[in-house]
Amino acid sequence: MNRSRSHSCLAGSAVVAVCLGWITSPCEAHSVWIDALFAYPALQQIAVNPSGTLIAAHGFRDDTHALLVQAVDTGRIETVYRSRAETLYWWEDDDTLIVRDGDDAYVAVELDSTGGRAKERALLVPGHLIDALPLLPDRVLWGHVTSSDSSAYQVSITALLAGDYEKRHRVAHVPGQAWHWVSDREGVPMAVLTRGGEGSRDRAFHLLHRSDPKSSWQEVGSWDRIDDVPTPVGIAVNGYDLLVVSGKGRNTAALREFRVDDGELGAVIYENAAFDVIDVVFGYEGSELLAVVFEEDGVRRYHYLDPLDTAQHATLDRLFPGKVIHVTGQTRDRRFLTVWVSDSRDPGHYYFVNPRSGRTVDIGAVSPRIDPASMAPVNVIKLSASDGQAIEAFLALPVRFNGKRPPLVVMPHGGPIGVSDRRAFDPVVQALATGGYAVLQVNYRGSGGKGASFLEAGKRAWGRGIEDDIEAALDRVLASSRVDPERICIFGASYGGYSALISTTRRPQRYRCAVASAAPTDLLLMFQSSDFASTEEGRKNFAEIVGDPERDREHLIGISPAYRAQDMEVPILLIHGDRDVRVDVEHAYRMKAMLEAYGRAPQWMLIQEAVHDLTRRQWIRLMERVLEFLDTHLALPADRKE
Amino acid sequence: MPKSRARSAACRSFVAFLLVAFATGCVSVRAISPGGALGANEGLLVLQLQTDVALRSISIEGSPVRLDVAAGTHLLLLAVSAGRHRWSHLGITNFGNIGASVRFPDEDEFWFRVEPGHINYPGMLEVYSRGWFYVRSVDRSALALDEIRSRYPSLIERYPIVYSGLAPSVFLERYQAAKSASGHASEAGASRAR
Repeated sequence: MNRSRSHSCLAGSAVVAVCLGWITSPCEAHSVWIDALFAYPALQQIAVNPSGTLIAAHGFRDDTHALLVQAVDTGRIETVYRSRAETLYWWEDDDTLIVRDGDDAYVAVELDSTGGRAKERALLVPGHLIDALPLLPDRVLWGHVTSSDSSAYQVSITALLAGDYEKRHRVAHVPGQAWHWVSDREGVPMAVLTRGGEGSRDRAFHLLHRSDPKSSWQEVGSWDRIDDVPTPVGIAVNGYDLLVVSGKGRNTAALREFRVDDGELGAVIYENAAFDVIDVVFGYEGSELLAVVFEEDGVRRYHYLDPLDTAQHATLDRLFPGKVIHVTGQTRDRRFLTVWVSDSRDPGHYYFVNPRSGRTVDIGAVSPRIDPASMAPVNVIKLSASDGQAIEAFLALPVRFNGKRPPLVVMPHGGPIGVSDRRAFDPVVQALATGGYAVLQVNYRGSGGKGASFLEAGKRAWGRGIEDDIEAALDRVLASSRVDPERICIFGASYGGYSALISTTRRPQRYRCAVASAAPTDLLLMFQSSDFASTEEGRKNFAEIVGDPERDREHLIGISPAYRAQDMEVPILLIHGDRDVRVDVEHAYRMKAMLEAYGRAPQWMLIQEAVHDLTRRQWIRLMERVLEFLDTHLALPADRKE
Repeated sequence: MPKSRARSAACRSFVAFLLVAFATGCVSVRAISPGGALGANEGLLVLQLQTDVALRSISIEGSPVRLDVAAGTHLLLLAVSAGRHRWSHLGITNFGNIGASVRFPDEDEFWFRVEPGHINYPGMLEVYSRGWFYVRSVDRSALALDEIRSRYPSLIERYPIVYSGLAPSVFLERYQAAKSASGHASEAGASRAR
């Protein structure tokens, strides 16, 4: 590998170089390595400006979030913006960044030629950035949405700073609330997906299109459910029809043309028989489609549509063998790229790459305190469940552990529908593995990215088909003799917490303990108290996933962990945030009360000020407690000689 | 649920926004201490509140109970005459420096029944202000149970707890059955949430 060291790293000088590999063993205090694993990334969101002279990054230094800019020719690094929380940013042109700092609060940061901050000005106008239009200097596409209509303005930063965008700047105006705009090469919207707009009761999704900027908008499609909507992502090669991602009439979501004249799906641009298209990648030329993205074996894969790009990616594969490579930015002439190179053991490095010469410059590590060599490798397992359903699972094996074989933590993911585990660096998995535990993750039926039939198979399979899949994966791992069959616990959050609890009733002898975080324990209660059940539409969707609260009432009670407490014989740790509106904390109290009624008081951790998704700080506290609990219940028995 | 059945003429005289004035009681209501006992034809009613404004009082069919609580989460037990009742008014402590009484919306969720000799849980009242006052009733029976077991151990040992609101909840029924089935799990011995 030809790596130039002529440039200093964006992150390298900012951190204390204590690598995780030097300090960890299963016996040491958990807090040391957990803190490192869950630390804010020292670097993320790397992107190069259109001409390739400056590289921007979101960094974390001295307990502060900062936007850093490095000059490519000198390597000089400047902090150009500081914030209390993570921000998003976009290159507006070669020397202007637009920073989103909080909800709809934008700041324009103008840079001098060396990348230093010359001027910083808040955009004090209502609305949001649709597109920074980096190829149109001093022009952005700015959006404004009301309860009844949406507008897009192509306006200069100067005008936005003056609070003066007016009707004359408006390039699109449609009824309803715009969800997604599709623009032409000039940054003018030609299609938009909206919701509502046809009266106060209209909740439908509408796809609107116009043939040129002066034509009126025409509705080319309308759908009641978001799942049925073909997602517009760009304009087709003929400059008229649309590109959409749709799974209509097939098992997996494909990239297709959408004929605006008859509102029908047209030619297939890319499809994969086994995996959904989950994303598309465009170049700086707004409508230039570069690649489609799908996920295979838990890893994000790119299919490039242009042979030149395919060759370019092959070069990257040679430069970074065995790694997962994400192109995070490119210059206007596509001669230089910024890439993020990572894998399941490595949070990754960012590089500035010339794919023609193969020259790479190490911009910096995402998490310099973590030594990938001490992290657990994650292997793919393919298997068939008892009914023949093909399932994918991942097994992380710790580098160090007590005993001849490591104890195992089964870790079902949340969701359950449309969510999936990935084989990317996961601090929760690595925290468990660093503590000496193997970790099994299962993309059970219902997980996302694998087509409609797999997704559908997970509906109404709570406590049944989903857990069949998890157990089939567990049986496969046990058959391989890679983990200690006598020391297994199950731990999950949200649906994963539900699964952990219900699994102890299905196989009481298999698990030594269970940890359930933010777990639904009374499925009828979900229909009353969850935020997604606050609308009729939400309740209907949830009923499709779990069962009807009236027709299937007894069944739902029967598969609710709170009402299966009599069958739970192993030690249980319940964890819940007191501000959780997705799964109300009442669920945890019900589980606790029922276990206590049977004389099996659980361990209990109430996280103050925590909602359904935890902050990094809350995750650290949770993992410390979980590891303490696992260490107690999965310790090697004193009478067992290894 | 018939909304007019238990409402006397005196109760109907309340208006939506009535300054510090309590009407003659339509129902017998009294606060009860942790060691207190119920009278004949009385049940215990769980008043569980989560509020973002200070509250001076709450009324059941016009009969006020003094609260004087700050914003936050609160629970107290009231001894209430048996029957079907409804929450009628909330006394707001500070509203334009003088306080106010706000009538509950005329919704089924604010009705409940009180069974004599039982602890009756009608749901948690969530009160929040967004320029005006909003209130809803949500089922957090296990949360209430946890606190009652901690603060009123002798009452929960003595009286069975039942759900008396509208939600299709089976929790308290299942909880009582589990306690009876397991036999050994006394309330006094149950652990308090850490």
